[in-house]
Amino acid sequence: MSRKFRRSSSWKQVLALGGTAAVGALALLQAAAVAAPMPVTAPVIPGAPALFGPLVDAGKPSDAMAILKTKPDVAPTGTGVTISGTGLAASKDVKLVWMSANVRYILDPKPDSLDYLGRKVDKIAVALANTRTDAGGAFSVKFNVPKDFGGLHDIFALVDGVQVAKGGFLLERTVKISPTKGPLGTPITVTVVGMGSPTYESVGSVLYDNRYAGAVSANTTRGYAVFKIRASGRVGAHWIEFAGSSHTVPYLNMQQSPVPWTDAHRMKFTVTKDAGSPAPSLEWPAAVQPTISERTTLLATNPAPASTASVQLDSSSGPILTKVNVTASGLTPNASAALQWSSVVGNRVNCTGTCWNFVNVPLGEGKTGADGTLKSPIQIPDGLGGWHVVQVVQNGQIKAQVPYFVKRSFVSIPKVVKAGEPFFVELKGVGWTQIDNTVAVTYDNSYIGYACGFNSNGYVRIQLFATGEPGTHLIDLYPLLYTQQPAYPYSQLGMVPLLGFANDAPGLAAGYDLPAYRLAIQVVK
Amino acid sequence: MKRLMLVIGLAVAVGATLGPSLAQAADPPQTLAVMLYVDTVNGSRPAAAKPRPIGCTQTNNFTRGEQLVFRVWGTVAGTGDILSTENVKYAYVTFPGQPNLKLNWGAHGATSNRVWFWTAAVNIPVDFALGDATAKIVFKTEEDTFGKYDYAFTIVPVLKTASVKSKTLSTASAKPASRN
Repeated sequence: MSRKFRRSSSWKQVLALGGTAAVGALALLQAAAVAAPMPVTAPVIPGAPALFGPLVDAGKPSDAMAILKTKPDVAPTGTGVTISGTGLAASKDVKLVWMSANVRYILDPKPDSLDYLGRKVDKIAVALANTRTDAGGAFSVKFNVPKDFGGLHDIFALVDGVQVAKGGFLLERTVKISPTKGPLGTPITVTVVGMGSPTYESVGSVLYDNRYAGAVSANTTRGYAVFKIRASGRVGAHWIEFAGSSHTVPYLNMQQSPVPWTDAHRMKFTVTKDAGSPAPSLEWPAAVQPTISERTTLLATNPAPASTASVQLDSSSGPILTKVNVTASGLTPNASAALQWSSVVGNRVNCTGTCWNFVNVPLGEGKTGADGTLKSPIQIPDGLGGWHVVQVVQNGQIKAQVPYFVKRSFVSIPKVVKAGEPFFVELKGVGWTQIDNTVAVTYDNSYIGYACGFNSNGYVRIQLFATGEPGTHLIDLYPLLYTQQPAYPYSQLGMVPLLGFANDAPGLAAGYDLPAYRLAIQVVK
Repeated sequence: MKRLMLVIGLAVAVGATLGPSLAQAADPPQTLAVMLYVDTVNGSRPAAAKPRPIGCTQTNNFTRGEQLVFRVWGTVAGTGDILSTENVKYAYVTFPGQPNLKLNWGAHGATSNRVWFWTAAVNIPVDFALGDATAKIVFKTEEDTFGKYDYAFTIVPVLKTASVKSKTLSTASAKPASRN
């Protein structure tokens, strides 16, 4: 039976009511805040190719390695290829293996944050074909270039588990845009096949008329990236460049590097007209099943071991101020119980020690029924976004907990701004982890900076200036990986717009559903 | 220069040889008889590829048709004697898919700055396999001791590059901007 429920409304009240439980929770959370960075299994991304064959042992290299002929040996996915060997032992079974990699993101999930530490690349051998040498020690096999990471792939011929011959293949990168013309604001889908797995082949940078728009990766999508930018600029031809990169920005003389095949692809898009500002819109990432269960502010162990209580919400995510129905059971019957929101307060700026703390926000309190249940609506607080926890507290103990993801929400942008005048873009529900504390801002496809929501409790008010000729100008807000405070070595893709956020982003494994915002203003004289 | 290269070579060869042993505590220590330094440079006149702007440059990244030149310096660990035809019975490189290549002892560089070392050149076949490969360098001394080194290199394809149609501003014709 549910009982009447009182909702708290002020921060003073929040802190007073939450005190007892907060102390207990804080101690537990700090004890549980010991975690280890780990490579996380990537969620299944719709449309991304799966590994094309079974994993096999790569074998041991022989002292006298023969060379295989591969024709062609530079081609894109799907191309028919013939691989042949000569001078091998006669009448022997041969296994051909294709060397590739699995790539995972490394995350450090802790109760008070989620840190991003880069990637882990595991080299793998994949069965390509089985054949047999003839009486003269030769073989020839045809195969189609698999859907795999781009770049160089070694191919070994194994006889009795020994690499007796080596071939090689360069899976070429292809980049296409669609459409190739349209009015200002047209969403342009960029499809990249064959991004690589090694560090210097795994990041692409997008330049729009030589302006840096952001970075793209395909680590968990086996080299396959699909993302959108929007057509900006005056009527006429514009150049989109998908440039080779290593970490974030273009590596401009990639043709002189050891991986010249990642050199830039250039495509022309023609803006046909300025038809006015397109309506603001959101682009959400792929709907995927998270692969890790750790959530910020979620206690790793049951704080009340004797408790058999449980709690459910009728939704698991939504923006601030969402009304959610809570159902708890297994509580002490006919006793008062409180619901509270677990969050943090602080910032990462100039952080040298403990820079944020756990806090509890009372969501209300009431009495349980004779059957030990409690049912009540709550309202998600107007605060930090990301993963939080609704806790059920009785007798100063947290009896049960359940996570809830607060989505970002767009608040406002002006429609018309005078050239040279400031204007503001407002968001709420921005989070605090390295995955979600920041948004990256582009102005007409040019990256101009980021905005953080941690210190302002999820509310982001970005001051921009209207520049450019009178007409429509585009503002896009993208997810960003905040690779500072703390900083880790070798974490790619940090501090820039994550253009490929929809299909390949570290936060997807942890349930971070972070959108891009597609906005626009009219600049007038 | 020669002394410097030898110092570098000793460090590299010792590190390369001892590294795996040190990682396995159970293995007995190995006696290092010969220490080698190995690098590769691109030949200035490749047989089947466009010459690079700069020849004879240290690199381990080659295209097919280029000439890969092994350069080797070595010393006898016990005496510090430089490996030369005086104390080496034979020296060769095992290159994947090729007959063994004899390493030759000779002087290189300008007359005023000649340096002696071992070399072997490979014209990389135009159909050689792309990707990483390993060459094995082997020395046998007159004392019947061996020096071995595995040298990794990468073969990459020749790719189309963007053509430049506009006039190029050369360093010689560029004038620095005035500070006034």
